[in-house]
Amino acid sequence: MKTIKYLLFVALVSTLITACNDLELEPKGILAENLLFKSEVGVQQYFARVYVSLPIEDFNYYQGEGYKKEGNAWEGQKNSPSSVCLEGNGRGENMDAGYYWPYSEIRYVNTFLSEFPNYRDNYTEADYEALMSEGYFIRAFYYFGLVKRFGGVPLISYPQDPKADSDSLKVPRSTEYDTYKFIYRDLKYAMEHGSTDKKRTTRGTAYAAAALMSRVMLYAASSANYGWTVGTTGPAVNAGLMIIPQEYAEEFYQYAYDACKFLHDAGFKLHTAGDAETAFVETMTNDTEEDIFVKRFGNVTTLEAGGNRNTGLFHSWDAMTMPLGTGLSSSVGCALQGCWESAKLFQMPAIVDEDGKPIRFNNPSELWNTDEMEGRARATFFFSGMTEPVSGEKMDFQAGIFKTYGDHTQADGCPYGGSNDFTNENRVIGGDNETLNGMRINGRYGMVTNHGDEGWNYMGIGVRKYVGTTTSRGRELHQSSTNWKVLRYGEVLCNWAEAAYELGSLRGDESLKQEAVAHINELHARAGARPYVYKADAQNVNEIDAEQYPYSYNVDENLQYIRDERVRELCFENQRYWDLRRWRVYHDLFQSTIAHCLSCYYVLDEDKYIFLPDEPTMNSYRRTFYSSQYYKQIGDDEINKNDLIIRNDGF
Amino acid sequence: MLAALPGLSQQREVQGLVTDSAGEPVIGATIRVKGTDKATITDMNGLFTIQASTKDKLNISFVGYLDAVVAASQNKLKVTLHEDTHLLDDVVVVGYGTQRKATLTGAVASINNKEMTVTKNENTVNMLAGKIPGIRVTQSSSQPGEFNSKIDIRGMGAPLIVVDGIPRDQAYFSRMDANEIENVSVLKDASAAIYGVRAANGVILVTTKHGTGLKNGKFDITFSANYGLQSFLYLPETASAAEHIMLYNEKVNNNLSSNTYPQRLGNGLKSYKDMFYYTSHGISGTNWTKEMFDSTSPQEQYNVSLNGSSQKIDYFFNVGYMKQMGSYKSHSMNYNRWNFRSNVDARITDRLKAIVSLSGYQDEKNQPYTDIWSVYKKAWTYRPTASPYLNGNTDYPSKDPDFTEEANPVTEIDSDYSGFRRERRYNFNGAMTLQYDFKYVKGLSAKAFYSYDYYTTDNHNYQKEYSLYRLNDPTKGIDEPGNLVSLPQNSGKSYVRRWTDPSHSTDLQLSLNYNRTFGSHKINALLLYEEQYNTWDNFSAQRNMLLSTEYLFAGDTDGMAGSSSGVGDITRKAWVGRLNYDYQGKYLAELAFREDASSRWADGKRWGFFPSVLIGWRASEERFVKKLIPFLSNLKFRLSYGEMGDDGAAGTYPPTVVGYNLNNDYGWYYTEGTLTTGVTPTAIPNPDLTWYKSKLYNAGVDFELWNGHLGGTIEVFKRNRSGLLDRSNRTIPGTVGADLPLENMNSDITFGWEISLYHRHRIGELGYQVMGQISAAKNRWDTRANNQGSNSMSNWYDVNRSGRNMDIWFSIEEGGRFTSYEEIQKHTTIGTNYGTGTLPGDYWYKDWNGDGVVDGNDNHPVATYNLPVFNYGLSLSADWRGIDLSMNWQGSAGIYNLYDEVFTEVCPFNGGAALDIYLDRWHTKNLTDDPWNPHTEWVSGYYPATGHSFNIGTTGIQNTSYIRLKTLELGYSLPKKWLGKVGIKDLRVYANAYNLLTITGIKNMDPERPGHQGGANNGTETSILFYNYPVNRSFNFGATLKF
Repeated sequence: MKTIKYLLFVALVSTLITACNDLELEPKGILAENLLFKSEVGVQQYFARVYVSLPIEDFNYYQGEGYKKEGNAWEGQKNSPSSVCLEGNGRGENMDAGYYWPYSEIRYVNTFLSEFPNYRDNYTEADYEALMSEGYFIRAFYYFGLVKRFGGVPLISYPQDPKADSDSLKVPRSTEYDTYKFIYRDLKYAMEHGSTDKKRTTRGTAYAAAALMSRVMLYAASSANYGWTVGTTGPAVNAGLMIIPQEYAEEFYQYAYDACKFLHDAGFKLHTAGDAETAFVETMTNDTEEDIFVKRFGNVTTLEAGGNRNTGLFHSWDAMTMPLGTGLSSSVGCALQGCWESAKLFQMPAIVDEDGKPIRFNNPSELWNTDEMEGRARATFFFSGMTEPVSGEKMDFQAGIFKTYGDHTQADGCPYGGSNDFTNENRVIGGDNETLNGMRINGRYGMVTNHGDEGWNYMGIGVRKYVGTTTSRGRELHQSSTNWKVLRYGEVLCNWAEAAYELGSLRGDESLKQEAVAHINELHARAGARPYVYKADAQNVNEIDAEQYPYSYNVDENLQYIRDERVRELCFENQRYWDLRRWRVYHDLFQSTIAHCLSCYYVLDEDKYIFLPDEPTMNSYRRTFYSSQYYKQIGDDEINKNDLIIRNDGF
Repeated sequence: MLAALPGLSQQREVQGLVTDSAGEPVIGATIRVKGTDKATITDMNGLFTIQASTKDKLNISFVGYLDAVVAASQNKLKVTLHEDTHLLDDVVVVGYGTQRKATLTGAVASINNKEMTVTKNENTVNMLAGKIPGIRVTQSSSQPGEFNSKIDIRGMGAPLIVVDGIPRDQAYFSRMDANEIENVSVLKDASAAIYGVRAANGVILVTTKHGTGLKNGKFDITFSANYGLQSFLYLPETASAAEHIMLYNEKVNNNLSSNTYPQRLGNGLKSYKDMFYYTSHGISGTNWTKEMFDSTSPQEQYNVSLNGSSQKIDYFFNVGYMKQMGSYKSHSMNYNRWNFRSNVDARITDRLKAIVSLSGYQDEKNQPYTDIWSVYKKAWTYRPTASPYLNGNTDYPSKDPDFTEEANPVTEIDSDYSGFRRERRYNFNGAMTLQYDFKYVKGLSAKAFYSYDYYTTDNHNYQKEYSLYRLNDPTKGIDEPGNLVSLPQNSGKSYVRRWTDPSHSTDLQLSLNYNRTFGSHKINALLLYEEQYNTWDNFSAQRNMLLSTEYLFAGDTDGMAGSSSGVGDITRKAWVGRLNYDYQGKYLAELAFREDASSRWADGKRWGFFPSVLIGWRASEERFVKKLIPFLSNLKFRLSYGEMGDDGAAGTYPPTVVGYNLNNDYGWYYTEGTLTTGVTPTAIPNPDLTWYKSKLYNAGVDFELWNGHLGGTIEVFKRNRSGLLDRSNRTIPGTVGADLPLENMNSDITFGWEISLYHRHRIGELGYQVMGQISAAKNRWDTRANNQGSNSMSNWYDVNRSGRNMDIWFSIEEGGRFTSYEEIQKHTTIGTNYGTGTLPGDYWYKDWNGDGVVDGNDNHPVATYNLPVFNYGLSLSADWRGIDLSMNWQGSAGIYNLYDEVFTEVCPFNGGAALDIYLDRWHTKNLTDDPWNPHTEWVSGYYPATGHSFNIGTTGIQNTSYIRLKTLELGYSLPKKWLGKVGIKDLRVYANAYNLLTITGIKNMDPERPGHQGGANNGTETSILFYNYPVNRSFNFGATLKF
């Protein structure tokens, strides 16, 4: 009996235990699709991956390389696109747009677009449409990253089954026109159905879609209007895979125009506050009503703590652009500096008189501490003598001393001396803390002869745009968290002006051209610059100054001014590199081209200061853009896998 | 009917003394009058008294000794028991049971506690090295608490480790207290197949001790203590300040691109003038290794175990504590561990038995916040001209401008300055077994086993803010007002991070056993059902610390973070069956199967069937063989075939649908400061995915001659795995945006052999045994689905192709050295390491393809990667009158390492310190000679002229084969007649050395130190493990005391 009792006990225990374990386990640590798609929070979590990987050329974007830079992205500032289009100067020498083939991200969005309709019942109609629109916005952004490099690309609009027959998976390239139209349809949908919450600046709202539309459609229109001027021919051009036929230029300018108007009608305005300088600094570093789409950055320490360092959502802009110094950069420093090519486009006092002689200033601050310089310029650059507001440090970039300059013009120059030459020549430059007749030879943060290209300013112009305006996180490497303005109304006005003017030209409509100038002047009002006066009898700039504007097609003075406005408004926002490409003027402008400084010298015998546009002593790269670089070649890797792909021409 | 006959004889008292061959009394030996129930045991002095008639025979037995039978013809008897060296009757633990060694059909090797614990080490894995044929062990570090030795069986990959029936990992096994281990069995062939889906790489079975061998009411208490002194086996030393300046100047001058002759003052270099300053003042500069490391560090281990029996209960209880101090002078690196185990066997009824096992461990590993590799790198690269402290004042650690990196290593090794990393592990296990012998079916028994295991960690990182110091004016004192500058380190980066990984698992086994002999037929059958469940989780929390405290609660809520990764669970179920058949101990067969299911695979692919067949023939039992070779005590031929599976390469859950994993690499700030972490899709589903299958073939011969005086085993084996996971080489356009899923595609082969031989003998009071073993294993791709290279040359270079051996190392081969300018001038090839910068002493390389240029095209197989191809060991032990001596040699051959940085370059990292080994180098006769002048006279040396690193081709790839005296132990057991008087049963004292002696071809390097590439790593891995904490030598002293 006793035995049976034990046996029963054993049997009972065994049965109880056995019943517990199942071979069909609900996966832990894995989120099922339905968990993500049935709530807005879940969709945002799903979108996080494709938002952070968007082809946004932010602080960390390294010219020639992919987007989302993980971890240490300091080469982003060193090799900024600004550096190869002479908005600034740094080590950037690579004119290449970089290879980009984000089809796994596109697949990810396509998966959403094809599966999300199954979850329609979980949402109100408006919320459902807003989320679908967000998906279309993201997909359009990725295709924009492709089309601006390659022209027409294979258009994949649903997630293909990789296990299907290989041949059925092959998709040929669409024409460049069709590719832009595909993006147009996605963005149009998003404009019409997207969220109209202006506070959602980190998401693809109807407004983000419209702002992106205004940008993308200008690219399309430019390809149509000017693509032919480069003269590339071949099978891909014939098939329409690269270069849009000119007849479509008007269509695309109109789309861009409409998108800008859409935003204007929605009530978007430029941010204004107090003086122009403050307003513009705030526009770039604060959240303002001008924001349409913003990429936010965070605290590297917090990111690291959460294991999120590889999101790359931190940057080193302050440490990399400011000079080395207490309260300024604590390491590297000055990896990107301003240059005269961009600065001189701003409204500022002349540095030479009518005879070409350098104008004498009693003090370097006379250059900038005057209404002659627009506030926007002071908000974009640091000039010698300006005070960095956070540290209170004076940005002294003085390049050297002229013992005498005499009657020389800026062009023929006063004979320079060799470095460290105190005796024979007129110009004296020196090392740290060296003096001449009791006067400091170089500025505290200026070029010195005994340092390399980093840490000290050798261009005479520093970068101010995007530099943080609070000290809370210091200015060490990786410690910057200023947000990146991906799309803002300031750009929209630039886009609008260009679209309106080009439409006016194409249609012979003066009123559209004048409207364009009005948009520019809206920007000027905020910038603290004098209004631009429309030139009814504008000449072609290549006829006025063929050396400065060696274009292969005609651009009139008004249009050139409208184009230059993009430098003034969008300097260091990594737009100009692509603008020069889409206008097809890059190869004309960049033939062994070198950046220039705004060197500030003290003239000893006169006790005055002069500014000279020297060639830089550091990073004096001569940059050349070849006409073959307007389109990137599709990778052999892809062509080997898909024989339907036609290569681009011109290589 | 005549059973009462003996009773007729006259009964009287017989007295006797039982001793062992050393003359020591045997305590507790059983004396039984044959054919009766009468029995007694010997007392503390080995004496017994028993009633017997003159015609009776007495059987005297004791564990570990051969039974002795003596006639009770005399009243005073003296009996000597001989140790049982004939091990054929030993019982060997196999999967889910035991077998007699004599009739074992599988390739199973085992070692017992004594063989294992003769090696004194904190890591049980290291105790196996060199002792079991087919086991490969490489110890890459002796860092306290690191346990990073690599082990595999026959080159097959990470083995399954089963401790008392519960699957474990190497981390658990490494941390076991060796004193609680009864024996370790290694299943190397089809005998492992009974473990099915996880047995493809072989199985290591560990059995812990149970209460045995003692009679009713008796118990032993054993106390053992071991104290060791560890020192580094090989620690490179750096050259003195003057030598460093000389070597660095030489380096700069011997390099064409930096040569500054005749100026002799490189950019930022210390000049010869500085060098003379050090030599003339007799200052050798800072020896960073001496500043940072102790020359010896203690290690202690204590154990108390209780072994006993009462009426119905046998019990074994062990508690152990060990503490190991690391080498850091700060004592911030150390490790300690508590182990306990309690095994209680209860005979509830005659037929029902219960075993209750409780066990656990808790350990703590401490180290400063800075990684080990970074510390060793600094020890060997920080210049001797830099000082760790201001003016030698240890209160003021310096920030010397001569540091090669930011930090000061003496503060980095000290938790009081820079913070710490602490890891604690907790494991608790409870298991119960019920075993019932059926009444009506003889030989049938049922068994139920259930185990619950809980494991968690408690980890704590603390990066701390602290200060280094500098003097404004170095010529003035520290006390000078305003002269001392405090430089905060980790400023604003002080943080505390805590994390834990709780997990638990259960294991249920229900089995039926049938064990019966019918005449000459012996049958043993097993049917078993097993179910395992394992679940794990983890989370962490972090706060920035404004206050200087290690407690999380005191941290700042701003910037606080928490995260979790790696949650999951697995269920496994299996049916196991086995039938052993034995005819007269002569013809042996075993048939077994396992039907295994894993939740890692999708429904329909979940269950797998793994059969095995083992047969054996004991030729020595055949009459004709016995006649032919009378001195042959055993000759057995074995053949086995088994199939096994492996799910190790699969994800935790079956790939049936696309799910999403949280992926920290992605995230988006939808609102300021709040990161939404992204997700990434799991792979494209392949519901057909299943385990890969191993087929294991083994043939072996066991033999023993002259009753155990000579014996051995020879084995050959081959394993063929198929269905290894890979992605199809079918190309799909990149525009699909997804990779093809993993499929079961490739196959490979592992093959090799093992030989072991032993000799045991006893001459008078001297007993000794010698055991030697050697094994070899190689891996080869059988079929591999991959794209062909563009030409046959690139195919040849790619070893990862069908039919190619794995782990082949391609490189260029050193041809020799230039010994004069003339040889350089007349050299006929161009390319690698030869050019205008070549100097006497430099190496030249073979132009293997004969095209006149030495470059990548001259690469050819020169070495192998991965764990050593050949492993061997030699064990010797002897005893004489209570003195015992053990020696354990372990070695490996066919292993190569490529070192880097400090080990292949003088003054790396812009003039860091130089190791003193480089003083033995080619150099110009006079310091100031121009190395580029062909008339300059050179002095030859071991290393080339120092201008560049020497890690190219086979110059860099070093053969790190070695043989090492892992263990040398000398012990003395005090005579029992002395001990008995104070109530002690046994007392043994010993002295022991670990890694006493190494014989190797490699110079200036410990052969087990991991390289930058090669060694126990596979071909694609490169690492900085050459900055590992070195392997130890230790001297141990200890005693075992048994009451």
